[in-house]
Order: sequence, then C-alpha cells, then structure tokens
Amino acid sequence: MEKSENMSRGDILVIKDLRVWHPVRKLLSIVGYVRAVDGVTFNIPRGRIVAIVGESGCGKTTLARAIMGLIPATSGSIIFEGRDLTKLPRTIIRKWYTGQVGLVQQDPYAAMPPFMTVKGILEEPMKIHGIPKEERSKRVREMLTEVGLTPPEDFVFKYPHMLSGGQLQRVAIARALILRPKLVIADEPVSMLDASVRIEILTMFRELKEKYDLTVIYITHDFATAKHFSDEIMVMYAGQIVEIGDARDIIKKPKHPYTEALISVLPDPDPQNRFTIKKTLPGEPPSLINPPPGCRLWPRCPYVMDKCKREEPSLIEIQDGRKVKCWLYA
Amino acid sequence: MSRRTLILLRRALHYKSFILGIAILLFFIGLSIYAEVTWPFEEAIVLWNNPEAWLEYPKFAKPEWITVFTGKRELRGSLILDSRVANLTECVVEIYENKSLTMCKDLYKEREILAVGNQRILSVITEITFNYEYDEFPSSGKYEVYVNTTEKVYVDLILVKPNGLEIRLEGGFYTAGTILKTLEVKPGELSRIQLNYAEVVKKTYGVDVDVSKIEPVKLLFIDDKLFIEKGIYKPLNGTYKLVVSIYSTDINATAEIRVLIHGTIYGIAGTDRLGRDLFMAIAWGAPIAIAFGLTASVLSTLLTMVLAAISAWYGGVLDNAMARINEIFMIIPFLPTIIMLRLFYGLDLWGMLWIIILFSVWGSGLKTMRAMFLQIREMPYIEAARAYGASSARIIIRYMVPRVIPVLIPNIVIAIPSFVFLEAALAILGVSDPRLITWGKVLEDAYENAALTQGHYHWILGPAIALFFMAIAFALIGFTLDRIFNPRLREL
Repeated sequence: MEKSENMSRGDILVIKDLRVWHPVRKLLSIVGYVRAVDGVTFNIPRGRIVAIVGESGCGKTTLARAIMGLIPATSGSIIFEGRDLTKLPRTIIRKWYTGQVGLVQQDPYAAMPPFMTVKGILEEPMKIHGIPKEERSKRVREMLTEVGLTPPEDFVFKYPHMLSGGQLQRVAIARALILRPKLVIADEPVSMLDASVRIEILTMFRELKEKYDLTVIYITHDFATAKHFSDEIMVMYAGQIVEIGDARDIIKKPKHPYTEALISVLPDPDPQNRFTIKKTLPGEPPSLINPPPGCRLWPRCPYVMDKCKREEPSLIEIQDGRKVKCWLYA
Repeated sequence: MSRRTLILLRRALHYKSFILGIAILLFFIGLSIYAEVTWPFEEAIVLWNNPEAWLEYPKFAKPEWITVFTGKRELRGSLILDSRVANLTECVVEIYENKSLTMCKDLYKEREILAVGNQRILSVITEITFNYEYDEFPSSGKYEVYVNTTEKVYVDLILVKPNGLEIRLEGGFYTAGTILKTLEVKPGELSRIQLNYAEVVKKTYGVDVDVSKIEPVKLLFIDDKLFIEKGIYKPLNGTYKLVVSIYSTDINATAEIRVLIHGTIYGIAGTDRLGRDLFMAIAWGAPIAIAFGLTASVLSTLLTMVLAAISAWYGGVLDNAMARINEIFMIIPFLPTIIMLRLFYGLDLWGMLWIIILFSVWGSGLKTMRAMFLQIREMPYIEAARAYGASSARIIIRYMVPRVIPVLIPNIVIAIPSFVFLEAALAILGVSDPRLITWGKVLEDAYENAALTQGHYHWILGPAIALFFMAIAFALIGFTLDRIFNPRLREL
C-alpha cells in the first residue's frame, strides 16, 4: 500500500503544448495543415486511469499515436519519466520506450497478425526486447491466465480467426502488458465489443492495473464507460483539451459548454424522460485545417460572447484538479 | 509453420488436379535422376556435341513404339557386321600351310597366300551372312574396309541377295588404309551400286530399269521381281551374304570389314539428323527446364516482393525513385536486349537466367505487389508491432511478407512454365546456350532442318510434348495451390 502511495506521487507523463499538424500537399507545395492536435498540455499522474473523451475526428487517436511515438510531434514535448521523447533518437525510443508503454487498439480482429498463433503474437514483443526463451513461455502462460483465457494450453496454438472478439481483445491486452509496461494506452478498447463483454473486459483491465501498478490512458467517445472505468476525464474538442477533472465531478457538474452538451445527450435510464427530445449543439465540428479564430466552439456555443470570437481562452484551473478552457470561467 | 504446411498439403491432396500435377512433376524429376545417373552432366554434354559418337546410330529414326500402331516389322537401331567382332565369338579356326580358315555362325573368312608366277599374293575372302526380315527398307548404311599395308590392294565387295542376285558395291585398287563409304548418294548423281544394279538386272532379267530415282541402299534390299514386274518397292526378306575379297602383294597384311545397315526405328524418342538419341535430349532437358524455370520464377518473384515491400514501407523519395526505375525497365524491350547481350557477351544459360530475372523483377508485378503492401502497411497489427518496438526489417519480413505469401506461392508455381517456354522460344530464335541440351535447342535444330516438311514428326513432337506436360504439371499444381491459399476464388 505504501508503495502504491509512493507511486501515485508525481507524474508519469507530462505533455507540454503538443502539436501534431499533418501537412496538406497540393502538387509540390504545402497548402495548409490539418491541426489534428493543436496545443495540448496535460499531465498524467502515476497509477491513475485517465480517460480522454471526445467525438470522432477530434484528434484523440492522433494524440494517442503521438504519445506512442508512432507519429512525430510537430512541436511541444512529451516527457515520459523525465525524458523528452521528441528529443530522443528513434533507436532509443524503439529499444527503451516501446517496452515502457503498451497499446491496446480498437479493432481486435485487425490488431492481430492473422498468420500467427496466440503464442507467436504474445512472444513477438518479448523476442524484440530480448527476453530469454524459458521466460517467454512462462510469461505467455501467466499472462493468458491473467486475462482470463484459461487454461492457457487451449489458446496458445490458436490462430486469431479461431477466437471471438472478446477473447481477441483479451489477447490484445495480454500483448500490451506482457513487457510489464508502466503506461498503457487503450484506444477505444471496448467500442467494437458486445455490451455484455465490455464491462467484463474493463473490470479485468482495472484489476490488472492494480496488480501491475499501471497508469492507463483510456481513449473513448463513451462517457458511460469512462465514468465506470476512469479516475479522471479529459474532454477533447477540435484538437484541444477543453476540460479536465475528476471523472465523477465532470459527469455530475460539467463546466465547459461542450462537455455539458455531450453529457446532456447521454441515454437516460429514467422512463419518465422517454419522450423528451434532447437538445444537441447546432452545427458540426469545425474544419481542422481552418479552425475558427478565438475559441473553437464559439460557432456552436449557446453562451457565446464577443470575446470568444476574438481571443482563445486558456486552460484555467478553477478548482483543485479541475481545469476548463472557457471564457465563462476566466 | 510446418504444421500449417502439412495441413495445407493434406488439403491439396483432396484435389485430383493436384495429384495429377504432382504425378507428372514426379515423372519429370524421375526422368532427371535417370538422366543424371545414365549420362552424368559433363559426359552428356560432351557426348551430345560430338557427332563422331553417334555414327553407329540410324539418322532420323522414328520411336520404336510406332510399330505398335503401324504393325510393321522394322529394323531397330543398326545392323553391325564386323569381321573383328565375329572372330571373338565361337568360331572354328583351321590353319594350313598357305591358308587359314575361320568359320563362325555368320562369318566365313579364308586367308590364303597364292603363288602367281614367282609373285606371292595374299587373298583374304570374308563372307558375312545376315538375315533381313523387315517390312521397311533400311534408312541408310555404310561400310568400312581396313587393310593394314603400305602397298596397293584390290578390294572387291559383293552383296548376294536371297534370290541369288549379286550386286557389286566396290571393286578396284586402293592404296592402303581405310576405305570408308556410305550407301548414300548425292541427288543427281549415280553411284556405282545403282549402275551395277541396272547392269545385273539387264543381264539376269533382260530388262532396263530406271534406278536414278531409287536410293542405293534400297536397291540392295529391294524385292527385284516385284520391282521389275509391278514397280512396287518392297524389301526382300531372307538371308543376305556379303562377300569381301581382298588381294594384296603384301602377304603379311591383315584385312577387316565392318558394315553398318541403319534401321528406321530407335529408342523411346527416335533420333535426329546426326543419329543422336532424342530420348537423351528429352531426359536431360527436364532437369535443365525445371532448374531454369524454378530459379527464374522463385528468384524473380521473391526479389519483386522484397523491392515492393521496401518501396511501400519506406515510401517517399525511395518509393518514387523505384517507381521511375521500374518504368524505365518496363519500357526497355526485353527480346532485342537479351539477343544483343547474348551476341556481345556470349552468355550461357545461367548468364541468360540472371538477365531474365533482372528483367522479370520489374514490371506490372512490382506495381501490383506494391499496392498490396501499401494496403497491408496500414493494418492495425503493423501499428501494434511498431508500438512494441519491431524494427522496419522485422515488420517487412515477419508481418508484411507472410500476408502476400499465399498469393505469391501459386503465382511462383504458375510462372515456372512461362520461363521454361521463354527459354525454348529464345532457343528457337537462336539465343541459347551453346553447350547445354535443352528442349528448345532440339526444337531449334528440328526447325532449322525442316523436320516437319521432311516428315520427321518425332523430332518436334518429343520435346514439344515434354514442354507441354511440364506446363500442365505446374499449371495444375499452381491452380490447386491458388484455390487452397486464396479460398475466396472458389466462390466465383
């Protein structure tokens, strides 16, 4: 317990003003940039589960890929365990960093090489990181048991097409954890699965997180699972973080107009409200090539002020651990 | 991986086409082994390219099995009548003062020293008997007389036909050594045999015959009655006797005679213009065709795959540069280039192989495969592999290549015959290895010598059928593998 207290102090990952801009080319010149991630700053405390919530196309997957080191950051820094990834050479990222972070992807069917057995899939990361053979098969067995694929003997020689979506996602989690990483990025890990399997997988994930002292970044568009699974929620809109706070707080009392709108459209189990039509924000998310000046939400915001159209608000801490990027609270 | 291979193999064996293809291929492999065992490689090349070695074989002989269909009795190979060989068999030898007699089953040799005035003269009379019981004329023949003396000899060579007609083949003085004559005659000329035959017929039957249209070898074996009375050409069956009389003033001289009567059928595949056994060419063509086709197909496809994977994975400038090089290679005309290279550098088959591979690597195949790799590159499992630290080389080899292997393997197998055919086509164009025995070279030789217009069908059919079956074998195996590796095609 003491150790876990110790671990919870300090941040495992600090992101400062991160930008990931994809150039748009026409003929030979660059005519513009898609600002998929545009000036994101946050930190992930050790041992926490942080959910990044946002609609499709808001840049959450790009953010995850940048953190994984899969795509280069345009500017800003990603500091993991005190080392800035954007300044590290690629070989060190491959040899050291990839062993420290695990990735769980959205589509379990596509995430597994179809020509490898479960054993092969789980051994690959260990082979790459030079773990000896006896240790490898021991860990494969252990890990399969941990993710609930028991007895492991039944699964090691199976090919991905022989397993169900839920089983495959368990293998994916096993693969992400097999190198004993400190940080796991789960990019919509349950959105492709049956509702019945989702909770099972997330509960298991949570248990594993406790067991292995993990820090988890949980990327989703689903507030329901985010509330159930995570300690903290970050809301993303058009490449920027608009609100950060404790999971329960955010869902109970959303501050940012966008968060408010998202939460207001959550399905309501109360039969009393079955005929009420829920109000959504008008319009569509802005183009990331030419985002509106000022606050990016203003064309859709019900509380829009003159200031919003001119100046961009900054992420302001309004309470302990609660940050909002909105002029209403400035 | 081996478990998977076994499972795939077991599934493949459910297809009759696969079994048939494998059976044909195994036959060709057996043929290759037979060729290597019977005529080791270097030996075979020397033998094939040495016309001297084939002098005893009939030229343009048909395959032996043809008689099953025609029902005719034909002379197989060559009839060799050799006075030296006959001496070695069970013979009775009697020696008198001036005379020695050698009597064998089919040879009678009388050696006598005659006194003519005060001159002593050696007389050697050799009689060789043989049976000719065939429905076809011999294709040709030749005879050799050896006399080891430095003085003049008189040689008289007479063939006694079963009906008693005596035809003189040779008669006159020679100065020592070897007399080597064939029974063939140049068109427009008349040989001694033809003239003598006309003379003999005139004397015996009292008719004039036109012999200019009939080859000498046929006149020797023709049924004279049928020929004179009805004009029908048919060989006369029965026992022939060849009488060789040699007279010399050198009483120590020895004289030997060897006669070759060439038949019309030989072996499984017949013979060509030099009397070379075509079965040897077909047997040796098999391993060369398999080696050539397999190497070209496997290497060019694998190299294409590697280039496509590198091009698709690294992208950017490298991808662009490779696309341009590819376009250059696609424009260069293949045939003129290889003919030119062959002329300038005198390439052998393996040199040509490298050039063919170099050209086959590029082209639309590379573009198609690059497109496949571009699609695979975006698969989430590749991203996952990068996330756990796989290097580029590992991703290409362990993650991208296995995805295209199922498409690749049937293609490799199906492409093998196209390379075998390419070799044959180049050989017909005169671009081939000068030493090796390939099916293409046999076809070229047959084509150059107008085999079809001359009626020597077996010369073309043998290698053509071999080529055909090799293509069939690989096509059957390839298409079956395609159905197994790419099961979606089965639904079509």
